[in-house]
Amino acid sequence: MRNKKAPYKLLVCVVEKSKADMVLGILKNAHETLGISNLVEGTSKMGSMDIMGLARNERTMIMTAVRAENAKRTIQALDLLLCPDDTSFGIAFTVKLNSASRETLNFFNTKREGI
Amino acid sequence: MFLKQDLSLIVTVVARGFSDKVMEAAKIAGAEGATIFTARGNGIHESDSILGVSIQPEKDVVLIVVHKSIRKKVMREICKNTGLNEEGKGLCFALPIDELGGVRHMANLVLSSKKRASNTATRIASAQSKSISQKSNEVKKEENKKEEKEKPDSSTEDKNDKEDKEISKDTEKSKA
Repeated sequence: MRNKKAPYKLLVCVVEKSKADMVLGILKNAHETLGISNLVEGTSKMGSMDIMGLARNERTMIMTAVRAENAKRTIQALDLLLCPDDTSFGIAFTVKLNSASRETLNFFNTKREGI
Repeated sequence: MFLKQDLSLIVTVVARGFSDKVMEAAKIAGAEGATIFTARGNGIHESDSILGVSIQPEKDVVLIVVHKSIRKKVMREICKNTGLNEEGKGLCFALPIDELGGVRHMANLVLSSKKRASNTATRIASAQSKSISQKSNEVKKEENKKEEKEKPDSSTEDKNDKEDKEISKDTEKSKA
């Protein structure tokens, strides 16, 4: 097994639970259908809801690998969803993947071909 | 909106229940928020068993996105306040973020820092140009002084001319 330089980036999106399906829809449109979804806790304040103790800190974190050439476009699409105006429903960012195993890269490539 | 190379992701792995301490330390240093989730530790020094039942310690993983200017400060504060400087307490590392979306105020922060950087660059350039022009002015002044020293005195020449005129007048009168 040889590790090769991966032309992929790890995309991490932390979003409110209600918006998680919309994020998955955007990723599906970008043909990035393989991802891990996890229930996490956020620490950002929710304004008046936080004062009343009704702030829900539950978030959904979605991690997926995206092609480096698609990363910018995908983040732009997520930015429009997460920040329609001055309010923010979450955050999305990409981290460079330095290397991946050959089997992983083969799997990503076959996934892109629709198998 | 997306940004490049100005932000970092700080990942902190601590024992379950210590995420609040990590957040307090990060907020003191300037961080604004975090994402926390639970995980399971699997290190060789952590495996333990009681009555043949293996125990895997629970962990809290804290993800914090910060601007690069405060990254070291946040990490130092986390390590100091959570005891990560001691062995076996956890770990903290940072990853560079390539693109980011969904956080307007961080975009403004990066844009303002870029503006500040460009302003300092223009200030430095103007200061350099000022110093160059001052030097050139000083050189010119020195050259002018040298030229003035080399020129003969016009005032003495005027005096000599006047004396000559007076002498010529006197001689004419005497002749007459």
